[in-house]
Amino acid sequence: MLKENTEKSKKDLKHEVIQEVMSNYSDTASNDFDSLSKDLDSLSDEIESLNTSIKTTESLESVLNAFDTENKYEIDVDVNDVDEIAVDVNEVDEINVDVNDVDEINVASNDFVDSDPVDEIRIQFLNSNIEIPYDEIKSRFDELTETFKVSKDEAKRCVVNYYAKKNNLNRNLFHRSGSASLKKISEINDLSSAENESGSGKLERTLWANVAVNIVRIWDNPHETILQSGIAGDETGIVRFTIWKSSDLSEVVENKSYCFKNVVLREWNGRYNIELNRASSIEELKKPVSVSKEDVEKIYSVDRRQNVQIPISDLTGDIWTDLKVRVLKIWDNTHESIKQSGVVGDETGIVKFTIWNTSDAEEMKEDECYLIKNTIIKEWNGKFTAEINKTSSIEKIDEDIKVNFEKVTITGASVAIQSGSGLIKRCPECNKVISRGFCNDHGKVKGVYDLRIKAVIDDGKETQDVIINRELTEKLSQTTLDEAINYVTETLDTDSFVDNLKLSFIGRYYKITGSKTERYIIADSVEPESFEKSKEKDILISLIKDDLISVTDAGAI
Amino acid sequence: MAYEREVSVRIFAKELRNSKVLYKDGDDQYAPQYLLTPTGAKINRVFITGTLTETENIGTETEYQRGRISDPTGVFLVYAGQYQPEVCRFLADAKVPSIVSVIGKISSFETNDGNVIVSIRPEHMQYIDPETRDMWIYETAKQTYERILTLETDDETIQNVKNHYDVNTNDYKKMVLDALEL
Repeated sequence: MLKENTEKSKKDLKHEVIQEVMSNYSDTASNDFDSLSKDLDSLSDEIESLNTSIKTTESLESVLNAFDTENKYEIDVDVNDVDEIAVDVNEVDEINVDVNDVDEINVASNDFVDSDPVDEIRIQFLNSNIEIPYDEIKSRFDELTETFKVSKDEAKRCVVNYYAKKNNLNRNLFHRSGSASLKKISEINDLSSAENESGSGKLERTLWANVAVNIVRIWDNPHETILQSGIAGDETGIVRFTIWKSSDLSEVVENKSYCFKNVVLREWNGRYNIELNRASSIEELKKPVSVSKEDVEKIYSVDRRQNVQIPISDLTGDIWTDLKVRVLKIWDNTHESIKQSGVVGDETGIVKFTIWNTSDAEEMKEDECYLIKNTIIKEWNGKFTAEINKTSSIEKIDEDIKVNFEKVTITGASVAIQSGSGLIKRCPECNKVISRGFCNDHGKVKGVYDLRIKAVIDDGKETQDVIINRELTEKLSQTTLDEAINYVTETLDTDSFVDNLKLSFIGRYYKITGSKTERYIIADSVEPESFEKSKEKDILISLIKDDLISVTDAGAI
Repeated sequence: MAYEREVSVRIFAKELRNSKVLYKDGDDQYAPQYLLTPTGAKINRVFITGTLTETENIGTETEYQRGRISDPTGVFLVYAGQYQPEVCRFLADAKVPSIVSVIGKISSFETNDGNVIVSIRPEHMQYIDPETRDMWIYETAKQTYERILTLETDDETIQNVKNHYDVNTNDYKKMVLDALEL
């Protein structure tokens, strides 16, 4: 047992050294190359001697001595210096070699990850002066892996979280991965291609890394769970990054260089992006990281692209284009990062638009015509949105654009109200109808109440689905939205509201005018069809009478 | 094939009562069942209006409501049980007489002596005003008359009707006329 402990402690010590090296990576860059290389040399010696001492250590006491804070402190100081050099790595080839050594140690740390997870957990907590019996951890761990068929990584996570909570420790401290190594962007991008070639699909284990990057571009923020996203690069390439809001990190600034530590490499659409979460940290680098001119050019060429103007009916997803449009509808703003949203149209059709807050473009006005330059068309579920961001521009034009969307009028009996009618809730972000508080796109959201009817109109020959908006629904049901909300919240009965709607709406005749979409008519007006057919009725009567008489006459002859 | 909702056919009570021919489109067990009427309507769902004259709970253990709805030509029978809870509730409390409209599926069974009894299994039932009923009579008259006129042609599509029914079209024209003039 003692020997085993020694083994584990050795690994742990090694691990700790590496972690310290990595976590302190690149605070400030110094130009004092000479003193740094001296420091580096001495550090290398330190590590060397430490390794040797671990190897030769037989007794638990000496291992514990190695944990001595003073000893650790010494290493810390030197490690910082090494990190400073790491930033300059590209300028100084000699030091590069040394950094590679550090990387080698990182590779060695992978052995650590593959060792007994139960003991890893035990040691992790031992480091925080908490002693948990090995068997206790093991039984908890084995229960998860054997009885509940949980993967080892997940089981480890669960057990760590359990003990962290029990001991009032921040569990994130334990999940700061030990295997995060300094990576160049090209290495991250190579991961994608290597994987594609081997066809092995996603790597099972989460990949962690540290990167030193320059922020090339920060994108307009499309989502409230994201603090920032954009493109970062170093001299070897560029990569997308996302800083989650939950990370509690501060924002980064374009054209500044940072060291991102403990970032997650996440595969998405065959490419690796980097994500910064709660376990990550950001440190600004005084010495800028250079990004290759071609890569920067690649990004900026997108901004300067001369776009062709595309008619709305020909839009496809993920293209940059110019649009010449008339504004049909400006919606109430539902999100703080959106300046304006609504619907625009041209001779060929209509499309939704969103102007992000980061755009300098002036707001548009309903019924005016504009030339929107360099808008990106985003597709979701076969529907398009023209997004106007920082790189886009909007010019008011004097042309008179006629919007063509088919207006139709139908008359028939309402024969059904489909589910999704009555009091509904919409996602505050995308305005889509949500069910049970969950939006398909945005997860759990606080829905916004709305009223509508999805009706089926039937003239005896064919049926037509019709969507009736809140205003018209309020008129038809003689119930305002607020009254409907009160009714439903007081009675806790959504069904009876719809039942009443059915009783007052179904089985009657209506004349409906609206815009025809593929499946629905979006109603502009819904009027009860009044019986003005007495004349037509008389015509029909005389028609049938004549018909009968001619038959009778024929019979008489 | 995309789901297509069955159209609600407009038909007078007398024609529905005279309808005897049931058939399915295709061999699929889920293929909808249709009733071929004497004027050649192919119906699965109907939209009718009329005066609710009588309701009765004919269920023994569970509630099973029968309603009689009278139009200018005859009587429709509607039956609603536990699977039509809304309509069942409506019928249980319904005012009689009152003007109602019904959207429902055709339900039928064949008696031992080969008679086909047709009734309506209502999906929706509600009170309407007399004007709506008048519109329905006009609309149903018009569409029935159109069917009769088609029946008098040699159109291939109505061959099936002629094979099953020996229809005196004049009787149906008179029925339509009576309905309009009432």
